[in-house]
Amino acid sequence: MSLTPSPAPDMTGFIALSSVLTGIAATTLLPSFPTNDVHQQILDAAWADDPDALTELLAAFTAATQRFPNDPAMVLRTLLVSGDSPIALMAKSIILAWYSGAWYATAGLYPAKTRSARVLSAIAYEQGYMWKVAQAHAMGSADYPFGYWNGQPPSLQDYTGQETIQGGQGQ
Amino acid sequence: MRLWLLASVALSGFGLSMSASAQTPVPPDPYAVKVTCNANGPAADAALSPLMPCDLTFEGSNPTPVQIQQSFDTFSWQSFVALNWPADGTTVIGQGKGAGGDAPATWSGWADALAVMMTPTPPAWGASAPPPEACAALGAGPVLSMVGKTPDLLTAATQPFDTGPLIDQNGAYVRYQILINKPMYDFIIANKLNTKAGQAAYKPTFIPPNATKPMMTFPGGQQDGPVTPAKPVATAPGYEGAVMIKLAWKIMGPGDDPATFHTVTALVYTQGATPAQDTCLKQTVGLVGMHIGNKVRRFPQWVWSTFEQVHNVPQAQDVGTLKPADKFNFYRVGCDAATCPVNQPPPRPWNPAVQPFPNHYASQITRVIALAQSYKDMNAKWQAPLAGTVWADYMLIGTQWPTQQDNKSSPTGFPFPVFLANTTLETYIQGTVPQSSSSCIACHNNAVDTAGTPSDFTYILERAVH
Repeated sequence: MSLTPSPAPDMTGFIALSSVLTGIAATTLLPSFPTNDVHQQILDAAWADDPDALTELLAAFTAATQRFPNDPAMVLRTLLVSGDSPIALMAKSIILAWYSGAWYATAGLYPAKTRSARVLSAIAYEQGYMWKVAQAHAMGSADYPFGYWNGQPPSLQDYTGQETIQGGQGQ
Repeated sequence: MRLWLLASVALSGFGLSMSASAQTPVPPDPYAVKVTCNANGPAADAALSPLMPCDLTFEGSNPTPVQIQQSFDTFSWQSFVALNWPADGTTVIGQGKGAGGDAPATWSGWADALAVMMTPTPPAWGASAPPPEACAALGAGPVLSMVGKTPDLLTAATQPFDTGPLIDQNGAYVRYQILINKPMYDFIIANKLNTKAGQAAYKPTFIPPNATKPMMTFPGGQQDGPVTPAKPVATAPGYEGAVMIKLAWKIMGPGDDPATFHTVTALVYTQGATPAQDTCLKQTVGLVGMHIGNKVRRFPQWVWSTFEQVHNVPQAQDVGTLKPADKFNFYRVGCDAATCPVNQPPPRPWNPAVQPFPNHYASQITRVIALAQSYKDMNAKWQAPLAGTVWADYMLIGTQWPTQQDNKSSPTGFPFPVFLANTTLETYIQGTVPQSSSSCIACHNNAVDTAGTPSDFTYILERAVH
């Protein structure tokens, strides 16, 4: 942990990083007019867990983006190449947070013997992308009209904001 | 507010076309009515006008989130003024002959949703349905049904979810009324959606931008530009879409100042266990709550505005600072929580034939979500030109709208604010609990007709009985 806390990262960079990590469009993760603060909850959790690792991860992301412009898969591989490094563990926790709505403590991710997680909030759980990439929804929180279960769900692109899920090839 | 600050990113991803007049003209909905639209934006003065807005008017090409919300709230106040404009077409709002300049409002000629859906032959537009037999000898007037007792017939006139009646300080039950405008009426009648058979046969053909298959779609308002700058309001040609209003009324009684309410003389009808036990009283009732659901073409989820009489309730956070002289329609200052449990439905039985409510009971209601300063400012702006009239005693509680109106994966379009409640209409479901607290769009998204077909955010169609 830092003895002298540095300023928390700005949201724009964190969303750009999160987009590459999750394969979800940045404008989907953080719309122009957000109606919840899940993005802030995840950033706060990451910062509280290991600010040094988060800072290093964001710096590594910036460098990788410059080295591999327009190639998010290579950026992702660069960030996750060392599966047990602090920045790789931080990246994995961020991915897990966006998908599950829970924060998995980085210290418990590897080796996975002391894994601990806490659900960030009801809305974070409900808005988790694990539901959306399954073209589904959290139990009890569907916002589709009556009878939706009798038809095809919207396309995967409608949920992710991406034509295809990018990245995900590292590790 | 934190969300506002976080939202101060560029609005390039925002799904709205900020200038309605800049849009490529599209053919209007067949049942929309050609009108002259109020095209003032939030930067304009609060100009009183009988013209309804047909669409949202935003400031500039890249408004801030605060400006966007102000546009919706301006839309709400413009709608409120236009709908409550005197029906005679000549009198200016607030200059009628009644107390506080009151006069019959424009919507008084609208169709009663229950009459449209529950009578074998719905009344023609502009005509009234025959009153219940118990009211027949009392002359003309809107019929206000009772709450709770006969849910099969009257649930559409109660609060959402039938969570319980609201009892005023005189022990009288609050009454409710749902009215629809001509585009909505015409759509229902032309498509035979006032009958079960018509609903079963109806086949929607239009795929809204937030859906993946054809859905029932009421006519939406739109503004076709160009905007003509003028005082007091800029105008534009356009179309009025479906509008439905839900009204909450209190019986005017001791302690009520008629100069602070819009009032009407109504036939207050209470159904008994048998027709012989039905009662009907001709009474003066005062408006305490008003929902406006306005279908705007580019917002498939509708735009939802809600207003209240300013003396309804205190804010929960202000209860400790109230003075003994403070008076409210639905809160008694100084009554302890044991005697007057806050925001709780009345004890059963709920029998509107027994009034006043037994044991001197009155609802003890507070506003759970405090009114933001931006709303206080917006209300002050619009109340100023209405000063001295009954309409200055009403305030906007909020405007809920879809922030991502074309989002197919979330057809409710991420409404903002997430929660919105009127203390006279969603009294007991105020708050911020997901899936439980009041949200106009989230709730009305579940609406279906009697055939189980989603009914475009209105519960009216499920009231069909023939």
